Amino acid sequence: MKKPLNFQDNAHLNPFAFPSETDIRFLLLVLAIAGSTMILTQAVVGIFTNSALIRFTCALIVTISLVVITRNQAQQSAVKTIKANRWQPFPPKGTDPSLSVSHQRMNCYIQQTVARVPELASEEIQFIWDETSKASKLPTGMAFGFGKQQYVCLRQGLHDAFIQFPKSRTFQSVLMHELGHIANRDVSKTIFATSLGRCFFPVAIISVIVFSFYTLWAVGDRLRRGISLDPAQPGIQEIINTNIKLIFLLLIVEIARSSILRVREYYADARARNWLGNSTELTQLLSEHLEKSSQKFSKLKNKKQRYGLAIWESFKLWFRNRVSPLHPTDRQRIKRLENPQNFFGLNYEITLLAGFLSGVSLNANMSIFNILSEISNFTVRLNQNVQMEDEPTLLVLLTVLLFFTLTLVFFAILFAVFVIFGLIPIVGTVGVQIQQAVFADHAKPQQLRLLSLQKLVSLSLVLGISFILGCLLSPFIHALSMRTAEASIPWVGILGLAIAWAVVFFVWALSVAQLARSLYVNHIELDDPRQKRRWLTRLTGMLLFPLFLWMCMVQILFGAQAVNPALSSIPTLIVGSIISGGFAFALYGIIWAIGWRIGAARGWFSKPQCTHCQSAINNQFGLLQHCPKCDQPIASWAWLPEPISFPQPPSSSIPVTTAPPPLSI
Amino acid sequence: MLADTQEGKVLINEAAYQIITNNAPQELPLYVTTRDQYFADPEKFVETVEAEDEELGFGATIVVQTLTQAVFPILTPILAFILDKATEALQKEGGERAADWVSSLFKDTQPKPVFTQAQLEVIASTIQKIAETEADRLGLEASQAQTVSDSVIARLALAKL
Repeated sequence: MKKPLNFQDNAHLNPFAFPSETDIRFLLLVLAIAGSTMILTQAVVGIFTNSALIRFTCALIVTISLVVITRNQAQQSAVKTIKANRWQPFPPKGTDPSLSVSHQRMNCYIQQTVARVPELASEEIQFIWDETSKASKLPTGMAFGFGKQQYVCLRQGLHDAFIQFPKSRTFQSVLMHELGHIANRDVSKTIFATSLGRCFFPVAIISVIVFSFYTLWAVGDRLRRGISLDPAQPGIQEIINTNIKLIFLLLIVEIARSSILRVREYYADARARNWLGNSTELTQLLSEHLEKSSQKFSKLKNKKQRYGLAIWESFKLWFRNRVSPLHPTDRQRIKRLENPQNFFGLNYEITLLAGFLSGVSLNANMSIFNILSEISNFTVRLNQNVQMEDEPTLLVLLTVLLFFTLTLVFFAILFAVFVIFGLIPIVGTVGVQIQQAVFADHAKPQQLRLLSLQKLVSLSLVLGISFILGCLLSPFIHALSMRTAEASIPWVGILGLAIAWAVVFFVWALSVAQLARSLYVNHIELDDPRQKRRWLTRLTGMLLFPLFLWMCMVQILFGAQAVNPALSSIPTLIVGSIISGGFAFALYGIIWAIGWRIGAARGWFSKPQCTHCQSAINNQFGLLQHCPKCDQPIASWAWLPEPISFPQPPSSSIPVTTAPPPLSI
Repeated sequence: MLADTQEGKVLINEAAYQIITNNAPQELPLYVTTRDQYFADPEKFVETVEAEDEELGFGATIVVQTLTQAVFPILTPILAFILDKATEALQKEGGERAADWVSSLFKDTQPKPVFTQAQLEVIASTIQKIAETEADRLGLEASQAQTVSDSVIARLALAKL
């Protein structure tokens, strides 16, 4: 039986009770890169062909190839890193016997520690020794590898820290942080994200260059042939516009990539904190560095003043330090360590990125609509050929079959595009955050509330505005763009659409909050509610789908009306939107009711009973840690686990000789 | 610089080993590697290393300040100073070589008395100043610099006339 948990040390909620923000951001990055690759490839292929089907197919092939190449690179990266840096297996072979003995002791301590960590039981970690890199004097480590190849690089400076252990806890803190990366499955995701960035940027740069050169060539060609540039002027403006948007998109991708790296540091710290049982040692280590960092920054400032760094170098330095650093600041890390509640809060940065990337990616992939006209043209041509035949019965049948198959495939692709680029970035990120914030509020009602009605409104507004921003900043004009060089929905209309989107997201967020509250606070089993979480995420996705599809349709129709006013009048469109909205909300209500009934039938929303004494558990005033009747632990998944028992620190009995070791050089 | 000559290296090796053995024996495994790194390039040895912002690393940390890393750069100017003083004192006597005397200072249980109390007070105060200045210049911990200077002064106290 587990010992009763100490309130002061362990009454915090476990940051690993829900999928980490790292996973959420990783999902966003993958979707951002996939969406951007689709956008860029379609633009480049568009130079050579007008066929939407060919453009879309090429974009799909390039995107899949990018993922395959990235995976291969990620698999090879660990071995390449070790070779390039001349690192060696730990413990290293050395000529100094006393140093070798000390390395052996360190290795023994590390192996014993790893064996005591349950989360690492299935991992085969290889330790690597670095005494060659510039930073090898520092007491740091680095986790790397891919798939089953998991490595932790130990720097020479970490051995110095081991020598001072247990007097100084630097060694243990750094080691547990690195092992935390392995336990959190960060290594593969990081290497994949890095490789993805490396593979994506050449594609992006080449696409932008090809696109820009084509524009220059087209303008030059017109000039050479003495053709006026007047008709090309809006096009030229559009292309300048496109280049700016593309660069903006690349920056967003890089910001998303580095944000993953930053966030996972919080989780590695949190994992280390769980194992160590408190945050004192980690906080102390970060505080020590915080004190020194101000001196470092003043040195850097002096260096900049003295040597006058080039503008590009300064920009890079500023971008890396301020906009997309790879690690959070010491202060941010200390804040998270001291209050794990911060892991459950809503993050507006993620909301902004999710809305924006959903808008950009979905809009860019709306080119799929053009395929529909190609399918109908194709079948019309087939039909004409069939009619010329003498006995067309079988061929007619085949044509009809082909038409239906192609239409079915088209709708399947359209559905996939909506789900992958529209719904997943929102449901898998913002939805999960709402779920965990609601849970934290109800599990610990005495704490500062993480999700109020006001916050839900702001969240929906951010999501709505960022989605519209994504549609507007999509580098190429597609169905959801709302603005072209010649025509656009007026800004008031765009604002109206943003508010309408916010309303849709608010209604959806409310239902997520309502369902999550009843679901998680009633989960008193010891294991985490993975099955319930998956069910709820799928259900909230289905809930958003009709509203999302309806709003996309409204936006597309208003956009089309702006380009071609003869299509329909604004009042007709408004009435049509309201009526179709009624249907969408009715469908939403039906899905909600079915979902609720399924959950209720499974007993997920009713008051739970203790699995030992069968007494009813009342979690109305917060999630209990023990059954009030039988004192058995309940809902262990939600609370910080007990710390691991570390092996005894190594003894420091070193044989001392009176004579100094002879000089070797 | 004392660390540039073989004789100087021998002296530093003897004194540094004595100090580490007495004050931080747990650091002895680091001794040979650290000493060899220092003798190979004393300038590079004291260069500050800035943590790189690397993916999946710990983030920025500060170098672990071991006495073994502090002893060499602080001891070198101190020994050079003592050598000068010993040369002056021993020249008057016209016998033993200063380097041999400094070596015996850290090896022998009772080194040969060379300095008067008044001389020792001045030397001790200068040694403390050297240690403080070097620690400040190289960004080393003041407490470790003091350990080094105190150890040397304690040995010198044995050589009082």
